[in-house]
Amino acid sequence: MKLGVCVPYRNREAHLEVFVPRVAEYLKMQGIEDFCMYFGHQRDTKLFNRGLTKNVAAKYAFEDGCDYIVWHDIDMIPEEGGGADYSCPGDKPVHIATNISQMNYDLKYFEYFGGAVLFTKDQVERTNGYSNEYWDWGMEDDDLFWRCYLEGLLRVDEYCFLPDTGYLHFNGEDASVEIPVKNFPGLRNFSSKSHTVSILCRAYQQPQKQEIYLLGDQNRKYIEYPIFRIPGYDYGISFNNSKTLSLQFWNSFNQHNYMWAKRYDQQWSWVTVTFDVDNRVVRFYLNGMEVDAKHGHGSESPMRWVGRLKSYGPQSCFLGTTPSVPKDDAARYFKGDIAKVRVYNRVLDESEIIDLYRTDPDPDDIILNLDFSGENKGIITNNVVYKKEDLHIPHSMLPVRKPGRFTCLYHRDEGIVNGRFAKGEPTARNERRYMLAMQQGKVDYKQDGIAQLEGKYKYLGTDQIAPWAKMINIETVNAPS
Amino acid sequence: MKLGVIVPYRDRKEHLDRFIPYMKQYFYDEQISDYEIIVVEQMGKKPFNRGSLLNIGFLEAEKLGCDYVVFHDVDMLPVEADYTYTDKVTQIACTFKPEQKISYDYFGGVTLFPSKLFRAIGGYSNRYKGWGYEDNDLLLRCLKKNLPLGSKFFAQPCTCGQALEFTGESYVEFRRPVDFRKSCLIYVDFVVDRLDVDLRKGHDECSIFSIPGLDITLAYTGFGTYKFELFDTYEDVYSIHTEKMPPMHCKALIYYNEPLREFRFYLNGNHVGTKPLREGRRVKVMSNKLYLGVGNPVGTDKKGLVGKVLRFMAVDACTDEIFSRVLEEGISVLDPTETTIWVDTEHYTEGSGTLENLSGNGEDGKVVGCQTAYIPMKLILTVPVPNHREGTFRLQKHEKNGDNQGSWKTWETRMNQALYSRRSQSNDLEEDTDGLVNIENIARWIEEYQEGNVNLVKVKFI
Repeated sequence: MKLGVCVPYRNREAHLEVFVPRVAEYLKMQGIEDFCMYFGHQRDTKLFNRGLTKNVAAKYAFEDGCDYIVWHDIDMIPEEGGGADYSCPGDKPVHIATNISQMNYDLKYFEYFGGAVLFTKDQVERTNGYSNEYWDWGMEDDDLFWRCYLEGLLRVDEYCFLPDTGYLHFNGEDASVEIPVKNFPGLRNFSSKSHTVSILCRAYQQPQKQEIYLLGDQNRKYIEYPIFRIPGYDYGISFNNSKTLSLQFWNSFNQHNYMWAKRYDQQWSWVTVTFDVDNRVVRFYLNGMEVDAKHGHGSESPMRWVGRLKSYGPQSCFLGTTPSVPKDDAARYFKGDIAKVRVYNRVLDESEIIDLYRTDPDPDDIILNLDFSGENKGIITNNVVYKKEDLHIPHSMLPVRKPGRFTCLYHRDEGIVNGRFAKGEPTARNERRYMLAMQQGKVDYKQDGIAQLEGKYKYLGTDQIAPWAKMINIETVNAPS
Repeated sequence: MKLGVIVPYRDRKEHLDRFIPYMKQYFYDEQISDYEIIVVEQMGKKPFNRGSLLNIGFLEAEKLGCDYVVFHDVDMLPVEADYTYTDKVTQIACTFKPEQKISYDYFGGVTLFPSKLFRAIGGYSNRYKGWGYEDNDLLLRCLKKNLPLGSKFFAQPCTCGQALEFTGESYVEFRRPVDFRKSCLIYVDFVVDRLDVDLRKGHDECSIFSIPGLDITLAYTGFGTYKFELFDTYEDVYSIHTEKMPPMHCKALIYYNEPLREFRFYLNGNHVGTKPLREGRRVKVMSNKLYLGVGNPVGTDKKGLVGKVLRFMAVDACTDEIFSRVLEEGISVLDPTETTIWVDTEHYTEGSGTLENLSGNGEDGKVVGCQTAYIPMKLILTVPVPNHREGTFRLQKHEKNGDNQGSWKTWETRMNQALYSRRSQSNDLEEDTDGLVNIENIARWIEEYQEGNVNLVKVKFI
């Protein structure tokens, strides 16, 4: 099987000199004899188009007889003995740049799909390669990640499956549920004592109210859509327009506390939070697993708070809304589905939480147990719709990964520097394309990719720069300013 | 497959007495039973001729029906080595205890040849007397007959484009360049095409740049090393050498740090070495001129470069900060105005005689006799080398032969070097008149002795 190493290239001579001999040496040591490197070299001085140059390199690789490829950054060098495995992927593409030196030998971020990814010819055809429309730095890798998701080429592990389960649908306009404390005596002041809240829900973005949070947007704002709330200085669980499930609570000094986990909308999610008042420790779980701050995927858990937790008096609890904000405020109504709501009067531990979906709560522990298979006594519903379906609760979808250690060669930072895009508007444009168009299903990726290269570049010739390396020189056509 | 172990021998009785029983035991342990040991002893006082002795041993091996042979030095005892048959010419002695570095093209010590192939290439040349080069010559014979060999890859810089071409007589002169009595940085991107052997001299060398007198110089030497060398005020010499490398495209970075009085030498991104001057010494600077392409433009020994220069940059009164930046990111991170000399051969007009100094802080270079040449991007230089099979050997003690990195030990070795250089450049290996074909004419068999599968042949060369 012949491997094509496909690398986007411009102006990184120092890296080229290191990459060509060292990666060749590594591949030979790994026993891969039949390989060739293809550098997609953009020779014009317009904005650099990594997706297009990677597609060009792949195109020439396949024409040159390669059976599978690895799309590879030029500044990533596999470390000797670091385990990077360049063998042909199985039925899904494989991401191998998992432990990289500039991130302390950790992933860049949770969904990172750059550095080095292996694809078979068939998988390239299915995703149609990269988009050709990402100019300058940013997100063409993430776009490919999403294409894999849409083609079923990611790992999607399931946390659990609940067949034929009832839930309430909230329309985001005027739907809500009120849970009066007088009907559920245990609810009175539960939140200032040790407790556990566990909710199975599915959220929807509401871009008409507030756009999905973009780093490159001058007017960006966080909005927390209320899932479960005790109003006042609101205690509760929300879905936020930055694709996040969150917990907020206050102490008696009116200090705000916040925990969160990244989660796409339209995914059933089991959120559980536990408050241990004796030790002042709060924990946040998603799908039975405690979140951690690794890879920017969540906040640190456990977290400590100071002082006493706030008391709320005889307040009702709410689902899908909070009376704390005006009726026309974007943060007033939640759009989505809620299948289960449980409140316990004690701290559940890890092993209990992971098994929550298949254990019935002990009547001694449970303060509130709502399940919408049938009517629930004691709650007041407004404009909610009862529905029933098979619930699949997925873990976060991720690429298939095989751990490999890579050294990053030195270069100046081009990504996010001090919380802002180093490259400014072009990256902001890419972010909009990815988050607002591609991820919202507005882009037909079969019309933008490796099959559409014709006319997008001018071929200038190929240089044989080493016995196993070719430089494919091109000039782009129609680059934006 | 029958193996013939051929051992060239003279005068090292302790080694031989240990070698034979050791090898017998080794082969027994390795379950190799079909073999002959053939020791070829050179009598008389002529210089030791390893190639001819091995040719004679081969004839014996052929008579004894050996399918393949291993040419085996008597002072090397296998610790872990595989003597089984392969159809490729193979270098087996690769690692030594005590540790000894071998060069990339080493083809001596313990080498394996299928008999048919050794016949086909005509055997060793008989013309190499004394130490050295008979094995390099053998590799040329293998190449000429297209025997399958291995490859060694050398990484080269990715720079390309128009360069200044030097003939060995041509040079570029810079007046008042950098001052080695203060900190300074020199960068040069160059190609060495070849280094000729000049028997009028004791050793060969070509300078890529030089401040003449007691030369402060970057040079490629007859030992195949790239070196940077300077002298101190007491005329002691300081040299930093790379290991043996072929003539090729390189970029060199040299940094002299005055407060620390130490200099560092980097080649193609690798740190070759750092040397401090002795206490109280300074660099001896004997000229206010710097030359590219020669050691000294006047005199008989110009040490002229046959090759090219693509880039040359020098920074006078260089700081640690500038040095680290250049080391980390390359010279493109500097602005020409931060340097003392910055020349770009890309824009040199042939015949103009002036190489413009773009720094604005120094004089232009005067060009004498240089033309221009185009250098394509070639990131990898492929050099054919013998196939390798990893083998570890213990070395028995003996007096060291060969070079001591400054001059050849005996004149014979220098003659060998000249012969090899001539043959390698002309590609006339004279294998139809020199080798197995004429070995019987130049040697006299004195005695033959056989005991079991150990054969001793004593010969004298005419």
